[in-house]
Amino acid sequence: MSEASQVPAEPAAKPALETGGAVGQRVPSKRGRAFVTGSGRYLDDLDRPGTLHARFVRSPHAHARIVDIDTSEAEAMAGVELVWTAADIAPYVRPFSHPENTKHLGFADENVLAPERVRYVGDEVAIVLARDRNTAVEAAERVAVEYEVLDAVTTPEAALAPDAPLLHPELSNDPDVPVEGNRICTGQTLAGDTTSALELADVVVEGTFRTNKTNPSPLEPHGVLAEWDEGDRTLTLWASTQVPHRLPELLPSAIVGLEPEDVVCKLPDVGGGFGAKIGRYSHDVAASVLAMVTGRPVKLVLDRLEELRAGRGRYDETVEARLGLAADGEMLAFDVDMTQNSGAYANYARVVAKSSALTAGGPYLIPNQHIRYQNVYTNVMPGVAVRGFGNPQFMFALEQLVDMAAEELGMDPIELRLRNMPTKAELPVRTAAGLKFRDTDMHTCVERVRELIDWDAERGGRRTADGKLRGVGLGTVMQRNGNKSAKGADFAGAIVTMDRHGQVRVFTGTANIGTGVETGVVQIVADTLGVSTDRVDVVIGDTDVTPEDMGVWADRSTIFAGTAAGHAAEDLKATLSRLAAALLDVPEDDLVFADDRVRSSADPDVGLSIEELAHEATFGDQSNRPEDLRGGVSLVGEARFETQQGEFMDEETGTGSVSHIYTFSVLAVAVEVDPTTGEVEVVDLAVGEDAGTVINPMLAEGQIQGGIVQALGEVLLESYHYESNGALTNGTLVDYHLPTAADVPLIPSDRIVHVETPDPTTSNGQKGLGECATVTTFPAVANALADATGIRFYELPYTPSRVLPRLVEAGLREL
Amino acid sequence: MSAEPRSTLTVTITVNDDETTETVPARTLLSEYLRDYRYLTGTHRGCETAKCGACTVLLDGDAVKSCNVLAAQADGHAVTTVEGLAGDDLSPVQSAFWETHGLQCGYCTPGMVMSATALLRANPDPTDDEIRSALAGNLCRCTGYTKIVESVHEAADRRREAADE
Repeated sequence: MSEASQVPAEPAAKPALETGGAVGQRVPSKRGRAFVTGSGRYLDDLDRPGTLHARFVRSPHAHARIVDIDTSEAEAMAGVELVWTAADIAPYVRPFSHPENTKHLGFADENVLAPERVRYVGDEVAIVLARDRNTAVEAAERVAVEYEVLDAVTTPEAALAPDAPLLHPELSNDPDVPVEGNRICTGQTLAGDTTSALELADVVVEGTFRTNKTNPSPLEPHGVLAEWDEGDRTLTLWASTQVPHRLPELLPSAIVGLEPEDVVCKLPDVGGGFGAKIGRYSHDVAASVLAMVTGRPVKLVLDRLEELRAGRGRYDETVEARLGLAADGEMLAFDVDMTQNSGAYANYARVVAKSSALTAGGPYLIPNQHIRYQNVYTNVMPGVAVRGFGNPQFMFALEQLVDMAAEELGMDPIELRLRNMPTKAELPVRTAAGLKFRDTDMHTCVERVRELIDWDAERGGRRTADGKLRGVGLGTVMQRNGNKSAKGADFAGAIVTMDRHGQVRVFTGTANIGTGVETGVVQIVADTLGVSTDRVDVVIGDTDVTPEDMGVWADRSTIFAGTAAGHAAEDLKATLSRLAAALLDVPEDDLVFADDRVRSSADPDVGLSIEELAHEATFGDQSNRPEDLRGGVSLVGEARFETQQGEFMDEETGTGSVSHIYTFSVLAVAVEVDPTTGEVEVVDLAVGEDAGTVINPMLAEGQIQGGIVQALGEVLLESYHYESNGALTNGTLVDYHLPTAADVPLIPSDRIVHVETPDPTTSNGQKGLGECATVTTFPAVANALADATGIRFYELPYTPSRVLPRLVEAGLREL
Repeated sequence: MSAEPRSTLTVTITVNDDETTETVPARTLLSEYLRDYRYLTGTHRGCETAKCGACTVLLDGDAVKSCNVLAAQADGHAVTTVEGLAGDDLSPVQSAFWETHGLQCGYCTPGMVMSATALLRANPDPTDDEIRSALAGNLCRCTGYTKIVESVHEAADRRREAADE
């Protein structure tokens, strides 16, 4: 395989494979036909007999004491089944939080309904159950809640002030938990000695970088349908989730008397996730409890206004960072104080900070790193592990510092980067933070992007013919692929069956949320068995039948679910092979599985179709089989793939190679700034990525294109705006502008380079890639904007209202 | 306001060439009518504030956001939903979106397909910018739009080829 191969417009044959291999081909989405015909089945499309519809009453205040709740008017409405407050639901529930918080911090700070105090606009106060959705919505509006409004804090600065109002005073007063005032906890990644190294450094660059609070806004809102079977005492949950096998573990910790073995989770089609559907939410808990109590199926689907107030989003963080270098450009020390605006509940706050602190050094070999973080309660919507899992915030800081250092040193920013990235020949290496960098070719990725964006000609900024300020910049990432430490283990199981007709089914516990993993799994299994992709179906995310899996997050699914499926297909193939060898009287080693047939490699006419082979296995003459298969041929393959690369993090130093592998990615962009309006437009892009063997170039491009545009929305358009009293002023899609087709550049396939260094541990050499381009977009645009204007912009998003005043200051504004 | 029975209306709407008369609450949105009374769940609810376009259908041939139209307003009119596009084969727009990967999670797809269908009927050979402008009322959170724009070009080619045959 060539070291660098550009994706061609037409599918290219992969020489390593047998004829007609699907891996590496532009195979269309396995669910695509359903999606274009409107036959997709999402949560809100499901119905069960007697379904009741639930709707939350949410707080209009950012911080208030609940004085009284009058449910009588709502309860009197025709069609209303019940209206419950915290007092009503209390006997059935327990407070909950992310398992890492309960385990490491010793507390759970969320309640399904706020018992006494609300802490952000959107906090759940009461719940209505009615015969239909509109009745539930109307009834929720008639629940009268009397509040005593409290002072609110919306920023860590305000929340950490000595006289700040406390969100969780009971936790602050508890000597057994780390909460102090509004500070939830602190943590670090520590390697070497940054203090001494910064003293010895020839150049130290520093800055305070502020990112924005955003909402990934999967187009399908969160939703759940819960049904209780009193006979089996089983709760069945259809959920729009990224983690079907994790919900049965998470729900019982919040529901009294419910055990994991009582819960079945089934995945409908899921309309996007991006990290927002990774956990367990109040709506999951509430719908489950109400289904158990009423004996009726309960559906709860959020609307868009609820999503924007309470759907969870990316943490805004302040990253105060220092980078020290030697005169020759060698990076010596990276020293950071990160403060996270964690919102009203701890949720993913610590996990995101901890994971991203670990990889804060990016692809660079920096011997001394000290990344300190603090998570802070404020009266805003809590956050979650949005695409990139904290890396966009840290790479926004580090990669700008690298450009600032290059300027101080008089070096080209790409040369400075290459100076500090290991070459392929230097791998494997272990970084100061303990990460195992292996099987990747960073330098080729960077060189290819340098050519594509015409770096040497474009860098330095210039005026375009129409008077725009134009510049180029880039950003990189080493993105975690899975995280053994975060969930206690990292694995996926798979079962592959063949029926009497030769039809293949893959059972996988991952989730199809749009990433295309199900299509990749089909390609891998089809190639392993030598059959067409049409012959392979997928059963996905149904805990009744699918084997254990950790779900879709951290770019892990094509690695784990893909490899497990490939291995399970090998297991099935071993049986087919033994049977075929006996039937054809050909040694197993001489059999070829290809083109929906098994045949002799010596004589193509000696063979059987897969249908014939399946028929023989099911109905054939037993005496023709190998002796040990005469009692029945089980056409079932199985496997579990568990990482042997991932490690547990050392909790003291925050170091350790938690991921199976890390994907290197670089993005360069050209921007043009309109000096009359301050508007920033991305006009050219080039992506270099080493995701190992690319299973499906078309779907991989889609992930990269979508990841970039999602981030362009965050970098250029989106940001939550809370008043100082905690009122959310832009909680609608009119005011919170998500990027449309008219707002963003097209990203043609020929701007995306896959440098395919295979991972030797996965089924086909694949790695993850879905989050990479989102992360790199943050620093790439920042550095291009600085190149275009000569001004360093430290705060996101880059809206005209933020850019134009700086152009005025610098005398660049034109009228 | 009290919890008295809501007023109802009887509407006759032709959906995908099938004319049906139903009595519905007066407040019923066209998107609700299609999903709850005609069981056509391909019309998706993404925002119900006419911002996301996931519920786009054709009303007498024009692309409209069905959360922004009352069922009463469609009385006596013809609606085409995503379920009504395919005959024996997928429509050129449908097959192009599938094979060009102008979709990922599929939630925006029916609305995108309907908007693209309306565009190509009015403008059989649109430019990139005409496509981007025509689809600016349809949000997609997955694809970044490039493959959607490519899908519309591909659909335009397929429509022309079909017309030539």
